[in-house]
Parts: sequence; C-alpha cells; structure tokens
Amino acid sequence: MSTATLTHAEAHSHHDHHEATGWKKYLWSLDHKIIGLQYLFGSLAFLFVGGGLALLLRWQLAFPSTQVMPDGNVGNPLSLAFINPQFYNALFTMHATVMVFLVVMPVLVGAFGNYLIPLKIGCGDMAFPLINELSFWVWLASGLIMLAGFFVAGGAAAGGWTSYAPLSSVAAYNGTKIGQTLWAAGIFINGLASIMGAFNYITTIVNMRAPGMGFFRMPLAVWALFITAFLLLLAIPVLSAAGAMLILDLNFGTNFFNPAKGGQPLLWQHLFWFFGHPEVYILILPAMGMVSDILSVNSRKPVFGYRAMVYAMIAIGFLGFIVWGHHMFVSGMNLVLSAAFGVSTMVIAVPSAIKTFNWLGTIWGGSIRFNTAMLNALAFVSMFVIGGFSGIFMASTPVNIFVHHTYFIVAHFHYVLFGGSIFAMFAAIYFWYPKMFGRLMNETLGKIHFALTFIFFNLCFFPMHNVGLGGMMRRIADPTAYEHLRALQPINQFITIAAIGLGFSQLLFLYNFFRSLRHGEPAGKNPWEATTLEWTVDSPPGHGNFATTPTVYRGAYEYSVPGHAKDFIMQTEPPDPDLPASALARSRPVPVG
Amino acid sequence: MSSAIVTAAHDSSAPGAQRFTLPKFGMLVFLASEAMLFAGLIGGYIVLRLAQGPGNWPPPGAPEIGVKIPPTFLNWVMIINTAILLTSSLTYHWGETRMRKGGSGLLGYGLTALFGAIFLGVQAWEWLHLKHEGMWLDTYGTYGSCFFTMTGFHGAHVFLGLLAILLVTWRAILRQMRLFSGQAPTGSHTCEELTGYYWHFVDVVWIFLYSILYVV
Repeated sequence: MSTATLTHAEAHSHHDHHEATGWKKYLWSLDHKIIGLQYLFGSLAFLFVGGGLALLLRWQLAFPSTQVMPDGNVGNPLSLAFINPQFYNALFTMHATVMVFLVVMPVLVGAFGNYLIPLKIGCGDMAFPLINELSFWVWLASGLIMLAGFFVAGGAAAGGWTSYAPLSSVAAYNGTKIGQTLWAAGIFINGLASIMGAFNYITTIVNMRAPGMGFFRMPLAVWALFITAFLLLLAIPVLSAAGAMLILDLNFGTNFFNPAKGGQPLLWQHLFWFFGHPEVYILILPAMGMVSDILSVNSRKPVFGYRAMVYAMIAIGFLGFIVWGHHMFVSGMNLVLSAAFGVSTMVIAVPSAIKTFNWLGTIWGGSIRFNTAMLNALAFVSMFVIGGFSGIFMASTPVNIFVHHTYFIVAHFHYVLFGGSIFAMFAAIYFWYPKMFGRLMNETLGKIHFALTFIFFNLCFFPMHNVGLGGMMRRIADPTAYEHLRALQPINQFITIAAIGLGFSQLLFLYNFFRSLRHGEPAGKNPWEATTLEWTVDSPPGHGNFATTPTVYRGAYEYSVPGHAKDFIMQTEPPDPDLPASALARSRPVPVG
Repeated sequence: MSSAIVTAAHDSSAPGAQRFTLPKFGMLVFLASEAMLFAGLIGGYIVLRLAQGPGNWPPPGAPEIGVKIPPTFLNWVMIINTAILLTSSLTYHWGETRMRKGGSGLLGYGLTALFGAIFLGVQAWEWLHLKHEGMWLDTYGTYGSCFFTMTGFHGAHVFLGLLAILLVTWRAILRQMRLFSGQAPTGSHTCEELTGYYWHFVDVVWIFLYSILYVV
C-alpha cells in the first residue's frame, strides 16, 4: 500500500497561504474549511428556495387553479391564481434542478467533501486551493443563472429537470427560449464547478494522505467522496456536451434534436441519462459514506465488512455507468437492449444490499447512542431500503412500462433523495457541526426536528406510491382534469398538508442551527469519542488543520477493542507493544514512511 | 500501490524530482474529464451520422470536405493544417527538452505559438469558406450542426491552449534575456509542463476529429 505521500516541504507549502481575517475570511479565503462552509450555507439557502418551490407546486396539486368546481366555477376557492399550467411546469422543473444541482450535490460533495477530506486524511488543505475557491463562486453563479430564468420573458425552464428534446430544444414548444437557455447554460457552468472540485478531490486523496494513511485506512466517507469524484469527473462532461447542443439548437438553429432535419430526440435522452444515472450515485454515495462513519461511531463498533463496503461502492460507481437505458424503457427501445439494461440495473441491488446488511451488521449488538445524528443516519438506512426496493420495480421492463411517468417514480426518487441524501445531510450536519463551529447543536430541538421530519416525510411521500399505482401521471398541473384521478384528490390534498408540515419543520432546524452558533454547549475536540483525524484537532480547526503532520497507525474504526481501557482508539495512537497479539490483529501494522 | 506517487516538490526541476507533481497529476485527471466531453460529442456525432443511413453523409449538395483521391484543394489545406498542428506538439516538446537542459526553449515555444496561430487561422478560413458555400450550423440537417460544433469546441480548446503557450513563450523570452546577461534561468517548469499536457491532449483530440470528420 501507498503510505507516506507527502513530505514536509509539501505540508509546509500549504500552510503558507496568507490567512484572511474578518469578514473577508468568509468570502475570499482559500482554506478548504471556509470553502466547505461557503458551500454549506449556500446550499442550505438554496434548500429553502427549492423547498418553497415544492410547496407552491404541491399547493397547486391539492387546490388547482384550473379546477372546475361542482358549481361550475373555475379555480378551487383555495387555489393560488398566479399558478397557471406553464408556471406550474416551471415550478417542478426548477424544484428538481435546484434540489439536485444546488442542494444535494453541493451540500454532500461541496460542503462535506471540502470540509472533511483534508481533515480526515491528515493534510493542511486541498491540492489546489485557488481552484477550490473558484469552484464555489462558479457554482454560485450557475445557481443564480438558473434561477434568473424566473425573471425573464416566458419564465423559467419548464421542460422538467430532464429537459427532454424536442420539448426543450424548440422554443415554440417550451414557450421560454431564454429560460430554457439559462437553464442549459446554468447546467454547463455548474458542471465546470463540479469538475474543478472533482479533480481537486482526486489529486488530494491520492497524493496528500498523512504518513500511514493507506487507502484501506481511510474512513468510508473519504472513500465515498473519492469514488463520487470519479463519477463527477467522467459523467458531468457528457451532460455539458448535451447542454451545449441544447443551447445551439435553441439559439443557433442546429438540428441535433430536430427530427424534421435528421436530428435525434433520443440522442438527448441517451446523453442526459449517461450523465443522469451516475448522477444518482453522485447524490447517494457520499451520503452512504458519511452514514457509515456515523453508525460506527454511535454504535461503538467497527464498520462491519470495511473492505466489502469499499468494494461495494466501487461496484456501484462502475455499474452506474452501464444502466442508463433503464430510464428509457418507454422511449422505444429494442427489447433485448432493455432486458440487458434491466439486468445490469438489478445487479446494482447486490452491492447496495451488501452495504445495507453491513450497516445492520455495524449496529448489531452495539451500544447504540441515540443522538440526533444517529437517528438521522438510521432514518437514512431504512428510507434508503424503501427507495431501493421501489427502484428494483422500475428495473423490470414490464413493471416499468406500467409505472413509468407516474407518481410511483416520484415516490421512489424522493425516498432515495430525501429519505436517503437529505437525512444523511442532517445526520452529517448534526455530527460535524461541533467540529465546524466548536459547539454542539441542541439535542432536544434536534430530536424534535428529526421526529417531525421523519413523520411528515413518510406522510408526504409514501402515499405517492398509491396515487402513482392509481394512475396519476407526473408533471400534470391539475389532477382533477382527469376523470380517473378525481377519486384520488383527497390523497393529493393529504400529501400537500404533509408537505407543508415537512417544510415548516425545517424552520426548527434552521433555528437550532443558528442558535447553537452562539448558545450551543462547547464541544471540545472530540465530543463523539470518534477515532478519525479530524477529532484530534481543535473545534473549529485552525488554519492549516494540523500543527504537525499526523502519523496514522491504525484503521478508522477501532471501537471497543478488547483489552483497551477506552472503547475507542484514535488513528494516531501508536500500537501498544504490551498488548497480546490477538488484540493487535485488528490493527494490522502497515509500514510507515 | 508503490510508495509516493507524488512527492513533495511542486517544482519538478528540483533534482531527484519524481514523475508527477501535484499540478501534473491534477492536470492528467482533469484531461480525463475533457476526454469525456469530446467522447460525448463524438458519440452524438456517430449516432446522428448512422441515423442518416449509408450514402446520405454528407447530405446531397453539401460542400465536400471528406478526403478524396486525388485530394482537392480544400483537402490539401486541411491535411497541411493537421500536419502543422501535429508538428506544433513536436516543437513544444523540443522547447521543453531545451528548457530542461538549461536553455530557454524560446525557439520551440515560439514555433508552437506560431503553428497554433496558423492552425486557428486556417480553421477560421475554412469556416468562412464553408459558410460562403452555404454550409452553416443550421444547414444540411445535422451535417453542418455536427461539423461546426465539434470543430468549434476543439477550436475553443486550441484557443485557450494558445493563450497558455503565449504565456509560456513570454516566460521563455524572460529566460532567454537572463541567459543573454550571463545568468542561469531560474524558476519552476510547472507552467510549461501543464501547458504541454494540455496542448498534446488537444492535438490527440484533433486526430480523432480529423479522422471522423474528414477521412472516414
């Protein structure tokens, strides 16, 4: 295994960055921790934008502005008149775009990736701090460009976040040439930010690990972000190419997606989903990695099957590139090809199940600490299982054809994206908040927030399975316009009420987050008694992270090692020569130097 | 994995420097991403072209850009232009070699900048010529769309590379001035090495693009 990849010259060259002070520190600092916080605050702000869009579109579904009432009047008395069908389309399009590109990706990859990677592998900063900072500002610009669509003639992009051609590529169809162009430009620029982050992460993880930090001593969160960076690196540029073609088709008369002139609308779908499916794992792998760490710490047990966890993530990452066709079963696909895509998709269930059972193995028999971070991590596992199971439904072509483009799909991806990624985000914030700000978040408020979120989440999204199987299509502005959906309208109203509850529960999180900045209990270096390197330094860590480059002697999960007084051993603790060999067996020595 | 893929030094000119410094490693990873961008474009091109069926590519009436035997005037222009771009990789390498041996590398870098500029100029001339003949982004179905988009993306990369090479050439001029005044050149070669990786990559992409757009 590779060991020391960093000498002193390198370590010091990174400490030499001039440390900015005051408010400038939060705008221009090249410190990975500040950039991580910039991403965190930026994406939390967008979370509330995206959530607001969701509540508006849910309101329209419950109380449609175009509903024909029994008395013959048009418009439910409770409806919001400004939500017409075109605006409704913009709402769900931008809700998804914001949540994917401006919330889940930047919070998991941008915020926690930046903050945790150098701290967890034991180096002072990322390999390219300037590019790191640039990536944040480019990302922010991309978000503002996409949202600017709401203020142009025709409104924001309204072709769905998948922006299928020719709906997206012909101005007469989408009704908002500028909005759709801004969307595509935003996606392209967002991709630049992702790529800058990705090659930075890869370079950092491969080359800047502390002495003794072999690849197989890295915490799973770092492994997950490492694999995610490869997915970003290889999948994003394909979307960029497609986005460029879309901009050209809309504005310069090219015919890439124009069937009348020999173009191929299906080409968009292939390019989009070649990116889109790895993207799914970009959104969930970092969550998996961080949850693995949180489960292990709070169960006081090593991660069950550490290497299997790593290999499973690599397998998921690889398989993610060869399953994109399962999004296109109803697009007119050769049956043999659809069978192949179906099988390759189901194969992903194997590494996913390995991970799930290993999480269960990790908490099995542990002395579990039910703190807020742990509760959110457990919610991640259980909700991910539900979302994963409904995913297997869709991998099977015949079932897919039945449920395609229904609310069953909406239920599925909210179970993996909210139930998975967002619960993992909450878990990670509660868990690493003390490291970031030096204070603990309030546990009571945290638990209330968790309970409300968990209950409202399920009340909101589980019934979507039912209305989906009942035949309710996605992306319709008024379910009451369809005879067969009128009986489902009470469920839609129920979902909307639950969604409002879910949305307002997040204010509690916001209150807890900002209140704890000043009034939280001081955290100390290692409030959770965890073993990894970030817990060896002050909270928050100083500029340059480590006073001296740490040396790593053991794996990341030395909990409840027999024969030890404490139930955790820091990665930096040298092996005790007096221990019997059996106790040492779990921390196989790896040459240092 | 063997020990230390990358060593400490940012400055690869230091004695005993290892094969990859951090910036070089990062550039190689970044180029993998760039390769996927062109893979997306080329993949799209293949789909669109195959969809036209045999004999319809180029579409009837479109200006002939494919290589003929004997080659047409336009063929010769693009063959020579391709040779110029490929030669620029050699001159760049020559500049780097001279620089590593303590010279300035000015002649190699300067020639590379010149060849790069010629390539872009000829590309621009070809675009104008084809536009004059009636071929543009929105004509001849997907034929014009593909040609101008792919050569445009590549041309933009060449342009960025050319800017970097102008910077490298400027650095070489400074180095040459130090040599004239009897001092040894100082400073790291990171800028030159990174530009070199990028420039060679852009050249290799052109081999693929030339093959599918002009030859096959």
